[in-house]
Amino acid sequence: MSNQVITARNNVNVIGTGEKTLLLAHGFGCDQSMWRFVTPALSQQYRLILFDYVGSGKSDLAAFRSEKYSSLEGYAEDILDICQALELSNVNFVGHSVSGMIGLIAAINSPQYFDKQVMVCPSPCFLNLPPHYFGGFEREDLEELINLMDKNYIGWANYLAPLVMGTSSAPELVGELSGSFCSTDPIIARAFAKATFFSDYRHILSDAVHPALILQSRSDALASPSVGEFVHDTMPGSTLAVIEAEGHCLHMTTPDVVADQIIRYV
Amino acid sequence: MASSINSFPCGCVVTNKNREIVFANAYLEERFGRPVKALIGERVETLLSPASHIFCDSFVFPLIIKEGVCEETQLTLVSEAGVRIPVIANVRRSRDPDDVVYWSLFSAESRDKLYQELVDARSRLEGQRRDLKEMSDTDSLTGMLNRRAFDREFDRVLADTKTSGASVAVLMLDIDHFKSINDDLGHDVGDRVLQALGACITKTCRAGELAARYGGEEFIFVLTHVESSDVMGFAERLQSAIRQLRFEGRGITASMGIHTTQAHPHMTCSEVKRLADQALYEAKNTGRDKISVYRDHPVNPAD
Repeated sequence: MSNQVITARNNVNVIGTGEKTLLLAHGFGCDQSMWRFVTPALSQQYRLILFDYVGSGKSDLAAFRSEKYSSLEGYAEDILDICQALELSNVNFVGHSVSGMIGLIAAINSPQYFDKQVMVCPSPCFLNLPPHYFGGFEREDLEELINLMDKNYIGWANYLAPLVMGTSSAPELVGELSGSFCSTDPIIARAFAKATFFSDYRHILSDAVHPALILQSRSDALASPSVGEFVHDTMPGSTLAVIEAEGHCLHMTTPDVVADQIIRYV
Repeated sequence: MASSINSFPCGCVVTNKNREIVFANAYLEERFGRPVKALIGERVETLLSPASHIFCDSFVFPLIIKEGVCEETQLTLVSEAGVRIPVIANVRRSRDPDDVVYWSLFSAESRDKLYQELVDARSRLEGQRRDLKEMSDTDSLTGMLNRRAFDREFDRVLADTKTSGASVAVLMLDIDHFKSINDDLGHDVGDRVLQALGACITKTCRAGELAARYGGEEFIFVLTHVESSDVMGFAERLQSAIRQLRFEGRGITASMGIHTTQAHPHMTCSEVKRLADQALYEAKNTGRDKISVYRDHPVNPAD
């Protein structure tokens, strides 16, 4: 598909200038606006490609296909479509949360577009699968989460906030950060939630072909430090940096640290 | 006053700005088995299931901070014994300087059952809709798209190529002497021929390319962003794959017609198909087992 079609479909925005290109991919339940705290610093040095996955933000909802977007591979196709349409190469892919894995799927599938990867609070699997892996949740917890989305959809679909909080975040901080709610279509958001929370992509970590930086939050309700360690131990060529901060959205709560880490790594 | 609050038939909880419980009424203990004394000073999340905790973090708390109120939200309370109890929460932040949050929690077990039935019914309907769509779009013999689905999808592809000005190629394929296969070897073998051809085509196509069984023994494909030589290469690969097929010792051949064009605003699906069909007609008329390309008038590349 052509440049214009993809640009409109995924609400692609290009800002900043620089020799290197950063492709910033948002996580579940939000859109490209969640990068707004790091883009001022990064756009000084890099060309930044921002976009919304189909079904999120200002993407073209008519392009949503439930079969395609029922697994992370469908979202990875969005990434590759953007790379192809914009004729990108040597992309430094920065993905938050589930986008860390979506980016990895894309990079393994079509390595020619990519150079390095930065994963912000990634998790290859949210389920506890004892004895060796603890993603943080029992299956019934995650089923209940989807169920709560179903039963509260009239409310939360209009007021879904990025999961910025840690256990002791100050309310003022939380209020400011989650002030811009992401209004989503409940059916589409549910599909993304299912693809995110029930996926298990641990097996692809060892297939990584590009170096990766893992930014792990010291305290994160969705991805605990042991998950970050697992990703690091399993992914060849990866570097782990544990950030002394709380919550699942380091690029919102500690944007300076995250921008600095990215600049030093890329 | 405190005893009145204890008599309310709902859980009443007050939390401070650190989300710690500073008050809980007797209903919490009676109905949910959470001893009030043990709750004071605990964070409100300790009442909730892990999923509800996440739900509160990404919805309830941000909304309370932003709007001051969050009403009719279903959450799951975990009782002292570990039983999950659905509740409806109405939550309001006080405007006074204490900055506390008031929670009323209503047991919602019956209502939850009703909701669950609705959720299940919706998911059943979605499943049925998917099955019906697949049935109405699929040719049952070959598993390929049928004519109706093809025409719809082709409309969409053509609209995309018009926007981008990309090239589009339509290839029509017809099995040669199919009637005699049916007559000589029986309809069962005829069906097997169609199935084998369908599999052959599906294997030759790239992911995302449109291919369909268009009529009795007629197939159709659409390729976009291609040069004429790519289309010819595709057709030749298909032709040689078809020539390998054997049924009761008998081989089959097919004729193909191709029309490749640059997308332009006035083009229509029926026009593009008509020109490909005209090329197919030419291939049939000039001896079959041929690939014919439409150029103002169809030309057989072998000529």
